Parts: sequence; structure tokens; C-alpha cells
Amino acid sequence: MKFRAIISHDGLSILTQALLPALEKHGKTCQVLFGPEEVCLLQTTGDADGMHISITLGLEILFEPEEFRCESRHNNLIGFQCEVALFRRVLQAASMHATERLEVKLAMRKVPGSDESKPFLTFTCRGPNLHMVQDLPISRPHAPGEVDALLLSHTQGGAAGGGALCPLYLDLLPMAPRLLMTAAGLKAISGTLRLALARQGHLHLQVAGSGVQLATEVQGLLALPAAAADGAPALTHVTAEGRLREALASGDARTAVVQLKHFSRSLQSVLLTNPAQVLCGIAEGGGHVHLVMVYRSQHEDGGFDDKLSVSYRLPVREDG
Amino acid sequence: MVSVLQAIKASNTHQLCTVILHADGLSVRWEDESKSLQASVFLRKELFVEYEVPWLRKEFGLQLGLLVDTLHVFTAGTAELVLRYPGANQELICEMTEEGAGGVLCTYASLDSMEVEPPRDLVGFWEGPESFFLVPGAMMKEVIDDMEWGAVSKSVEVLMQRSPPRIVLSSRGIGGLLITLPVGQLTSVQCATPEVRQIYKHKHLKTAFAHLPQSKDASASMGTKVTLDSQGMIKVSHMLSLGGAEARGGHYTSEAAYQDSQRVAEQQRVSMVQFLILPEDAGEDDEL
Repeated sequence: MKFRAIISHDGLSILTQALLPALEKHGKTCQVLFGPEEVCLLQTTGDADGMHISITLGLEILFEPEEFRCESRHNNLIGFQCEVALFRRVLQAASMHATERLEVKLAMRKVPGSDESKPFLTFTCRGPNLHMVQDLPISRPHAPGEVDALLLSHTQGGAAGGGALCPLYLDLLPMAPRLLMTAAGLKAISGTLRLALARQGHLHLQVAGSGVQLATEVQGLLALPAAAADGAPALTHVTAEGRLREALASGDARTAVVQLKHFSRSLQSVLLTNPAQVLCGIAEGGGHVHLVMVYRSQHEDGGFDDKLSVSYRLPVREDG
Repeated sequence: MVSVLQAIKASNTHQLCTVILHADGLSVRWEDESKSLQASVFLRKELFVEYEVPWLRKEFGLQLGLLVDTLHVFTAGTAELVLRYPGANQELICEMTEEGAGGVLCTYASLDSMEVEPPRDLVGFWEGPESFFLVPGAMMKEVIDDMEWGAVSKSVEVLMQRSPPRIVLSSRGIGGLLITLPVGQLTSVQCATPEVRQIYKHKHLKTAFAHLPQSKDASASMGTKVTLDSQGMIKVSHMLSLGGAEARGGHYTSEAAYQDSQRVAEQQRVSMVQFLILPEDAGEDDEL
């Protein structure tokens, strides 16, 4: 099992400023999966309080491709678990110095006071007047079976897994900051949130406490795929509540109940990672709520970047 | 409105409050379980963009915490908030529709109302002559917060002296704490008798001062008047500016006229928060 790579400047900043802080909100630990073509950062249900988060990064985003080496006996895949906060701190320390070359490699090292050697990711920074080595403790690399399980959960949760797409997505990006403010206020009333998405581009957030109901309707969101939104009859009811009933009755809307904190924490990563679209959908059968962040390519104009995607799967409460 | 209501936030999360609608404004009032503390907020009808009450007087009960939390959600919005009562099931309905760049946003809430016994108005028991002093609310808040340190006995003595004007708050517990309010910060101290001395529960005083909005908030506390009546009932009134007094158009012929109109505008954006606290002895003796 061999892993050695040079983290690029862009890769370092995207990890320290956007992705790792976003993961840190959801849980203490994360799974890292290095492969010959892409890197996945995952938080499975055990890491992230019932949620499933997967981030896919093309190799060239993080590493200098010509000096990348990742070999293992299992399809050249290496997977392990580490602490998000430590990972971020190590990288942050590296980014604070004028680093010319940040090398990372997988190493086994003996720790003082123990005969066994333990696995580490070793980060070596080299700059004009700096040579810093940091060891990030990681879990024992996953067995092939565990790696496969991770990979499977990743393709199911990720935008890449074509089969797992929801029938309808709404782009929440234009309203994300406003929704976050509302969600912060709703938190005081109840911990569970009923989400409803309608083909007409309407999103409803509802909470209910004892003796109080509160709801927000957002109209005019972009509905995707376009085919799903086509031919949706206009909702005519004068009140927001009525419009939701109308859409539910005609089968144009779907609802699911999720934990409010899952929803707001996931939306918070919009502020950190600055995506081009925030797609929210409810899975066929209502098994989970799916939030996908889509990013613009930094190099080509206008196109979406298929090398980077962040996807959240929110568990749906059964009793809702 | 939210920060004003937060100013009367109760320590008890399930505190019920009574909303009273009458022709010249809306007030929210609640009474402590011990019946020796009463808090109220009065919002004059001029504070609302539109205010319509078909009854002479209408009262209904709500959970104060829920009301505050619900209204807090609406503070994120920028449009007008419409409050309606009663809905189909005697509930209070709040609605706001915003049209922004991202689309139309419509937020609505309904709060179930409940029957409550309308609290007595302690003002009715007010007896002159009264003693009072004006003081910056933030300073009083600090003083009362500090009192907690010494208030093992959970009560605070307020002492007012006529000459020289002196106001001392003291608490006795393990050790004692004595705070003399700086005379320079006080305005118009008036004492009905050469000396007024009363004891109040610290937690009541804390309720009266602790939730005052800070000046960095939209609504700042403009001043606080503390009044004691001859029976020792204390009245704490905060003037809260609701801010957002929109600049009015038009030209003013003279400086004085301008200042006048400014003052009027300011007065219109002010709401009154009032706490009435009975002294410890009276509250226990009466067993009301």
C-alpha cells in the first residue's frame, strides 16, 4: 500500500477554507478514500449523526497529477478514517506558511511507549526558510470489504450515482441565506421540519410546536430536470397553505420530514463553499432528502465543474 | 416589536401572557405565579402601519415564549407583518409576503390562543405619593446583575434618601454587597419621605432589567424610570425606541419647527415597557 502526493495550492485552500469546515459542522470524523482518479471525503451515518455526506474531488483539484502515486492491492484504492478537525488544523498550519511544496504520504511509524507502529498521514512542508513535518494520526486502512461498502454508499449518495437521483430538484441557492435565517428562528419552535417541494417551483418549510404552526413558502425556484417541471398547472389558491394542499392533492408536490438541524447545517455549507446551484430533492418513495451542491468550473467559463460535487443525504423521520 | 417583547421575557418558559387589543393600541401583559410581579408592553396604534380593532376591548391568552419565538422568525423578513385575530379556531395568524430577487417568499404562522384569566392591573392599586428616579437602563441592568453575587438571601433592599440625594441597593447573604448609584448618572430624584426603604425579590428585579435590549440592537433603551409608591410597590418603566423612524419629507421653515417634528416622530417610535413589583412583605402577607 503506497500513497504519495503533492497537494496543490488550490487544493489546499479549498480543503481548509471550504470543504473541511463544512464537514466539521456535521461530525468529528470523516472517511477518506484515495483512488487513482478521484478523492472522496465521506461522512457516513456513523460519522454525521444519521446523515450521509459525500464529497467527490477530481485528483487534479487537490494534487499535482504528475507526482501522484496511489497503489494498493484492492483496485489501487486506499480508505481510512480520520478526525476532521485535526485534518483541517494540519492543513491550516501548512497554508499559513509560504509553502512551496506540500507533500503528503502514508506512513507507518512507531509511537513512543508502544511497540506497535501506527498509520499516519505525514505532511511535509517545504518553503524558502521552512521545513515542517506534521503527522496526522489515521485509522488503520480499511479492509477491501469496507472500502467497497464506502464506495457503494458513495455512489448511491453522490450526484454521480445516476440511479439515486430524485424525480425533482429545486435550486435553493437564490434563497439560501434567507432560508438559513428562517431556519435559525424555527429552531426555537421545533426540531423537526416538514419539507415540501412542488413541481411549480415552490418550496415549503413547516414546523409545528404545541399550539403553534409556522411555515414558509418560497415561490419561483428553478425546478430541475426541466421535464419534471413542464406542464405543471398553475396553483390558484390564494393562501400559501392552500397552494400546498392543492399541489399535494394533484400529485405535483412531495413532502418529507427531516431534522431541522440537518437541514440548516447542510445549507450552511453554501456560505462556506460558494456553489453555483443548491439542488434539493426528495427521493422516490420518500426515503431521504437529497441536497447537492454544484460548482462552477474555475477554469472554463460558465460550465459546471463535474470534478467537484458535494452531496448530502438527510434521513427522513419515519413518524412524520 | 420582538426586542420589545423580549424585554419582558419571563424566566418561566411556559409563561402565559394576555394580549389586549383596544382602540388605541395593543398591549401584552403577564403576571408572575407569585402575583407579585407584573410585566407589560404597550404599543400605540401609531406604531403599526395599519391598526384596526372592531371591538372596544378584546383579550386573549398566548404562550409568551411561543409568541416571541414566532415573531423572531419574521424578523428575518423585510416586508410588513400582518397579524390577524381571530382565525378559524380562535388563533392568532401572522403573515408576511416578500417579493425579492430570488422569488416570492411567503411566511405564515398560527398561534393557538387560550382562555386566561385577565390579570389584575396592579396600577389600580397604586397609591401616592410617589418617589422616583430616572436612570440609564443599561447601568441599572449591570447593578442588578452584580447583585446576584451577593444575593444569597435572594432579596435586595432599595434605599432612597432625600438629602443628600442617594440611592443604595444592597443585598445580604454570605457577606453583603452595597451599591450606591452614582448621583451624576441620575436625573430628577424625588423622594416623598426623607427615606424610603423596601425589600424586593432579586429574581423579580432581574426579570425587570435583565432582558433590556442592548443599544446595538435595532431598538435601544432610551431611559428608565423607577418609581416607588407609598406602599412600596415599585414600578420600572423602560422607554424603548423602536428605531427605523423613517426620515420624513417636507421642508421646515425654522429650526424649531424641525426639532419639533423630530421630537414628534421620535415619540411615535417609542414603546413603553413596564414592570410592577410588589415588595417582599406585602406579596407574602396578602397571599393573593
